[in-house]
Amino acid sequence: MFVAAEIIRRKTILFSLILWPYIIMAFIVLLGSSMGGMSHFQQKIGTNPVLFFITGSFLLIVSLIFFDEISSRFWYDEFIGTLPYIIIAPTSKTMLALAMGFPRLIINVLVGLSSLIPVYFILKSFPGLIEALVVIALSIFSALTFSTLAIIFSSLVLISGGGWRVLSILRPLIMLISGVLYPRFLLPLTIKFFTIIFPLANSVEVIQLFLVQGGLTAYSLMLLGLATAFALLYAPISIRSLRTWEHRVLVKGAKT
Amino acid sequence: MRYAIEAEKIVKRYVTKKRKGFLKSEIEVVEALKGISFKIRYGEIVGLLGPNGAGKTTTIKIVSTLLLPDSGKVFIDGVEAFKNLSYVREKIGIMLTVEKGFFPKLTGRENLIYFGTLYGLERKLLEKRINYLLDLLELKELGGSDKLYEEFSLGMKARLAFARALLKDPPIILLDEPTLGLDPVSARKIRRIVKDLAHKEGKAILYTTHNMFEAEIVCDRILLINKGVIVSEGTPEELKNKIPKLKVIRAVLHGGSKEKFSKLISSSLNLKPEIKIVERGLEVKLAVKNPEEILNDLLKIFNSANVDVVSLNIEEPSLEDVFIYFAKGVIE
Repeated sequence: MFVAAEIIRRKTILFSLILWPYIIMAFIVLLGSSMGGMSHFQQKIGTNPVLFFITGSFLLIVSLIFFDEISSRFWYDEFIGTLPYIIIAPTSKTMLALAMGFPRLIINVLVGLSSLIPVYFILKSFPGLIEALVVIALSIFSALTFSTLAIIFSSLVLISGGGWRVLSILRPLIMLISGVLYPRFLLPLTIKFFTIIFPLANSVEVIQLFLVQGGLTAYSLMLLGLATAFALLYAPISIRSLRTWEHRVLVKGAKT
Repeated sequence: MRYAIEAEKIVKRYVTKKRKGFLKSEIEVVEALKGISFKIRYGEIVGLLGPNGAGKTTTIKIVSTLLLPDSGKVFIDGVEAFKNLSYVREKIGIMLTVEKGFFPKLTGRENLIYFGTLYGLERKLLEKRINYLLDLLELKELGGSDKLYEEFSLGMKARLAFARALLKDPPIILLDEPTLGLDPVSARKIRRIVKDLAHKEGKAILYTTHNMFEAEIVCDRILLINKGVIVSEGTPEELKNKIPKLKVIRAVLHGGSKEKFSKLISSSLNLKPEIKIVERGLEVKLAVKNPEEILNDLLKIFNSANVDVVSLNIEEPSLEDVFIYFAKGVIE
């Protein structure tokens, strides 16, 4: 009875429950229909599928750190009662939000060292080690360039008050748009064009092209430049979005 | 003279949605504060005394800049609070709930380091300050320094929360029911430190409580608040003198019934007694101007009813009596 009431009374949870299967289905159909078998994957994409997907998974957990940390951390602060003391601190909330991601970023990079490097080494020997380090460095870059947009998304989650329900809609959407788990570089230009404003999508394409081509091309460098430019463009909006959330907290009162 | 805290006509309304169906909801507006004003000097402890839901926590949140008022102004050290948040927040130390507000998987010391760093305190100074506070609040002795917060007793949690309020050594301290649910030892410790902070160090303290006894012993001045309105203010003595000069006769009887005594006293003395059952028997309470005049008649009533008088006292009205007197005035 309570579960039914929880769902029916909260429209966001109802919406996410309806939407979720469609998002996952679209993702799997898109991915599966572009792949076929392992050798077919290698032939079509240009790289080993094991390397592709392990890199994609690592990239996913590293890139979404700022988004995950900020959107869940302030909610956690509210839950344990520390939020009023965070609000009242003179430290800029934007700086705090950015700082939140770094400890986990460091941990996840260390995880990357233990998971990516053995796989790269087994499949590609010593050149694979260098490639793994480059992939890790580019993943850190993608996390940093995504941080400002992540703050905007996280602020939306906090402002909406929907918590994990909104997260469960946003997260798969981010995965889809960024293209971490499918070959983004094979998308038609018209579709790619709409995701160019997403720094993570640009960084993901650079990493995927690096896997396929074995190096960074002028096009890759252009994408890195675009990712950086948009990250800086989103910076003032991210500050504004966090201030909007903080203002909202002050209007309602920080929960004690 | 510059006041530490000035509140001018603060109004705060809470708007909530009440569900009336799947797509329907009704807006409900609760007026938590209805234009309250007060001033607090440095070196003074001002108590905000009232029942649950009176507006005490809302007041503290507004003064601490954690809640925006709908109208009215707050000045901290002469500066308008909501237009100078950084300046004002440097001046304030705050203690809200006692039972949470820290990270469960950090020790007491680590929690203080975290918040001290967040408040911009330089590392060496912070270490010194934390050691001082852990000693002052006896947290080191209780093992609170190196124990995880989730293993703290309620008394230790209160002491740690108080330590955080004092981390910056702020000139203005806001305490929201700081001794709620505490053992007498911890409560007394906190009260003693609060008094020293104000009277020896010159800090301004706003202290909310619904404990009349505590307000009387801790506070220099009391603001009585009920349903969002300050119904009266003054020192504990001034407040007691404000109500009509009444004394309270309190008699505890062994035997007899509530209804019987109520009728007897009403008919014989033309007074309305407050009668309740207590552990030792029946407690009869009468508020009168000249208790000596009716004492003989009262004893005659008890004799005629064949009851034992366990105790009989004539008392000054308590702060609780003052509050009820003023609160009833507001309700009517």
